[in-house]
Amino acid sequence: MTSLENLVGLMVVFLTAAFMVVFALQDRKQNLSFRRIPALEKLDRAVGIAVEDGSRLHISFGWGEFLGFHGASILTNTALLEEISKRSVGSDRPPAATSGNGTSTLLAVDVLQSANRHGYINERMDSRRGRLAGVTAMSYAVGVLPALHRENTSTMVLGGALGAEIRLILDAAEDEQVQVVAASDSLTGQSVAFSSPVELLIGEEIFAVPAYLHAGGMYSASLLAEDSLRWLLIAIILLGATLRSIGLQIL
Amino acid sequence: MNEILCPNCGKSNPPEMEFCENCLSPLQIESTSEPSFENTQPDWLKRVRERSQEEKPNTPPLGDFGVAENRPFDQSLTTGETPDWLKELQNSEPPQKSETNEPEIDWITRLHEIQGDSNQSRSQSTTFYSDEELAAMAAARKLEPKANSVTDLSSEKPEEETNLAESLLQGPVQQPQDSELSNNKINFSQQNEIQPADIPQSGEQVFEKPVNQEEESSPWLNIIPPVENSIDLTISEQKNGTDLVFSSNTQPEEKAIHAEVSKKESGLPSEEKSASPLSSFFDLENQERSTGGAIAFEESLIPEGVLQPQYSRAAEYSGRLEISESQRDSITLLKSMLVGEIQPKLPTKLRSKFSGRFVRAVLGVFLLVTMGYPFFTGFLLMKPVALFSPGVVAMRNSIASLPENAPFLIVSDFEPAFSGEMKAASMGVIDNLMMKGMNFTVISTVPSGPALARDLIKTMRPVTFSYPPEKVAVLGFIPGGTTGLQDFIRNPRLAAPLLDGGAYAWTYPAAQPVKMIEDYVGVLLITENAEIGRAWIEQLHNSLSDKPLLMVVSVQSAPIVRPYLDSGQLNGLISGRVEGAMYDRMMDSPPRAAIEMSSYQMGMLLAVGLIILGGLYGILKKIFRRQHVGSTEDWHGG
Amino acid sequence: MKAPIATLIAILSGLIVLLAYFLPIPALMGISQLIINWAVSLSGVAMLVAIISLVASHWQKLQQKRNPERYSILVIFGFFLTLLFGVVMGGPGNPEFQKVVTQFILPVEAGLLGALAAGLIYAGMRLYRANRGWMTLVFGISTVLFLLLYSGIFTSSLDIPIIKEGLGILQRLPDAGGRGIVIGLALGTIAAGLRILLGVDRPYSS
Repeated sequence: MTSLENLVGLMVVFLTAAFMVVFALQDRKQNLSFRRIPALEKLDRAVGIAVEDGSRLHISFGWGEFLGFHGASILTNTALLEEISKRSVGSDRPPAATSGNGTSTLLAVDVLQSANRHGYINERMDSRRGRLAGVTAMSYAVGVLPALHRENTSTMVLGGALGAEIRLILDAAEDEQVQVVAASDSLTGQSVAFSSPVELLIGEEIFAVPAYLHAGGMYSASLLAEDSLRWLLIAIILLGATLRSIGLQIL
Repeated sequence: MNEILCPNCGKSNPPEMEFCENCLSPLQIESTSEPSFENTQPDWLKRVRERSQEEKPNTPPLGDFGVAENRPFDQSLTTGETPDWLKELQNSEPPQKSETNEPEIDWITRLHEIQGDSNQSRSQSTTFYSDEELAAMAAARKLEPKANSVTDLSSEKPEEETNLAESLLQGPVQQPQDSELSNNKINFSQQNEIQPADIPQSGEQVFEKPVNQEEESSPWLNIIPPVENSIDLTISEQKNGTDLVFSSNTQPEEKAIHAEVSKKESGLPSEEKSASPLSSFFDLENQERSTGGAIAFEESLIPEGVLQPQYSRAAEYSGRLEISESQRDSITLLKSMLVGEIQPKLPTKLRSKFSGRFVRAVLGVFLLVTMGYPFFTGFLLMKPVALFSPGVVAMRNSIASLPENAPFLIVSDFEPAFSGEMKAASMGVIDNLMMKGMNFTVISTVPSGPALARDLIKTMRPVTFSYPPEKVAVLGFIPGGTTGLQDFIRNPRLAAPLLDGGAYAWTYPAAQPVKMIEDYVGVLLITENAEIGRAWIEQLHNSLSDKPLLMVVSVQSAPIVRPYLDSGQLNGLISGRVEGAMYDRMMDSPPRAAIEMSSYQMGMLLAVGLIILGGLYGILKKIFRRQHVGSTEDWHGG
Repeated sequence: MKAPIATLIAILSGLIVLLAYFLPIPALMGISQLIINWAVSLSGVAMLVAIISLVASHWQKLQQKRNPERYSILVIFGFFLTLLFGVVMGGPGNPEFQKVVTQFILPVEAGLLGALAAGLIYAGMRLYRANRGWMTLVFGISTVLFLLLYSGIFTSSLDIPIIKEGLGILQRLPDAGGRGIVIGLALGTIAAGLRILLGVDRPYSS
């Protein structure tokens, strides 16, 4: 990596951190507001309905590797699982999680055990509620299906790395009339989910889940930081394209 | 036997008892200043009590079941009939001032004050009367025959507890001047209408007896006249007699109970009778009862048996519940409704006649038949490819520029499910590299990658002409995803020291010359996952310098990976089976899998046809549904 | 581990690896390499723990009183048989053991992919149910177009310049949209990583 690329990379990182801190301080003064995302509103409602009617919420972490590109979505799903666990106090069936990776499985189990310790979940923790479903893409998708057929699941959040195999899960969910929120970080998975009448989060909307569920002020701040960076990037891309079109190869 | 008479009810109790067996009031009154109750009783009262004990049965203790008295509520009382005890009172000496007695505890225990011929004595009480008590008093007055003589009740000192009976026998008591009247006004209508003259001038509160109240009530309530909804403060002076009127005040210190006591004929002067529309039982402003004369009761008090809670033994019912048929049907219906309510129903979605599983199964069979047709018949759908994509051309050029017998890195990062497509897309490239005699190092970040790579290499070369094993070093699987990948790129020997068989890798002929990643003359990445492809490209970008980075990807990953080809970060790209066939065609190789290609193309065309049909069906369905709604509106409109 | 210590370790580790990526300081890179090695090793151990957890969950499903999943016995049996076979055969490098992948896993997953294909076609047929507005029409048209494109029908045609240009343009169409989404995901990944570095997001603490 050249020194210029290193410098740009560091600048992006520090700029993001600065934005996050500024927006976090602003959030303390006044609550930051976001645009409506219907899928997240329905997820918020589905959490309450699942608690009331005693059904289960299932969160899929995907089969992606934590130490890679999919780590961010796994962390987001961890925050989502924690928030749902807090809201599931008194539920007959506490939330469950499946994963296709060892590290994310341990993270999910740790969150559920923590919820058990804090009293959010009264049911004794066992390995059925936080488990490894499968190590390959297809085997993971098939390993998630019992959660739809047998575990009285009313809502499922399909997050993490899920490609075309998400179709198998969506078909089973449709047969079992399970409400699905598709929050895959894979383009293929998002495309496949787009063709189904499910709630879909496209692109970086998957990282907005904790902020929309009011998991903490820092999540809102990081969301706004992402938005700010995106606008900055759009400006730079347009500038670079314009310069290139007139023959200047500065960027 | 030295028995103790209860000061409250007058019942005799054994000497060792501390509390009365009848009314549970304490028997021993500790009062140094006050004389005992027995000694303070007037003689007439004693006689009355003795006689009543002889004549009437003991009053059942409160709370016991008693016999409901069937005396109608509105039974008119015969006038002029004076009970014997009252007659005696008339002949007896005036009562003396009685000492203060212990205050009453509750209104039930003071029922004796209301009842003229009860066994209970008229003990003194300073407790204010409640609405129920006043109502009972009014009812008692109505039920009992009017007294011809005035029972003289001695009044007590203003600061002491006053005796109700005495106050009743006294003359009219002046109204307290500064009393505040409560807002709770109970208006009893009487048989005789309240005359305007009876209405007091000042805002005094009275109770008036109701008239012609026929509503059902418990025996206890039958004694107390029912209350009208409208409440108004009036004071009435009954024409035909004395109506004890009561008032209640929520403010204890200003509570003034006004009672109008009509005077006996021989009692009080007429001007007092007419001048005292409101009389009070207790004068809180320490007005002495000046007159020791008798206050005539026009009506006697309600007998004790009437005012006591009239409990009746409950009728005995069978423990078995008798349910009629209609009730059974109602129960069943209610149960079915409730069962449905337990499980909240999700919004019912419109479901087609055929289930999704059935349709998918039918589609699968249809696909199998369509795609299996070329295998059985040898049918070729298309001619060989005539156009070549830029990525295929770049691949060919890059491989052509590679030296021979050089170390070459193959990354086998595809899943078993996509093995068929990856094999078909990469066979030409692998074959071309083998023809150059490359020394392969195979690595994978997917657990099944090494096995699939071996299978790929074996497929390329049959056993007879197998590729020399010493030219293939399979390093196995690197855990950690992108982090492991980066670890390998930084230091391959440290990240993957062993072969998948357990032997040390870097002394193996195929891998021996390699010390850093730059020692490889090229890298071929075979993956169906766009993210893995991007990760390898971004991590290898600055490490390979001028070495070619080649990729064979699945069709689904091509849109993500192709920009890297355009930017020069990728030196060759084959995406899918079709571009693999392009590469074979470019290398002048015979088509490796023409039948498979034909089968693949037939499946794709079938998918296109079904999707178009489904889209048309959806569009027509929406149009006809709109039309149906519109026609209904037109038909019924106007 | 106490939360402040775990947080400190997480922040320091992340900072070292991040700075080593951008700043080519040898000492920093050495420590970063060490941390990455630990992470990779721990990732393998975590996978082992997760696999044991998988077996345990199937065992519990087998033993549950209400609706026990009897097929879990097949999973447990297959797992231990494969483990035994691998131990006896000497590990994953043995070509005979690798037949487990090529003869069992590969056909099963290929079959699943075939079922997936049928499901995708069925979903494409019922695209009108997606209720995405006018995007549904665009999605449908692009699906049909790219199915035809990647089937190779157009590549078999004659060497006509307009077809070649058209194919080139069509192939670039999804690239821009995909690139935009990927940039957004990358920004979200940066923010998620920074939340860990700033100690705000602590999934490891209890």
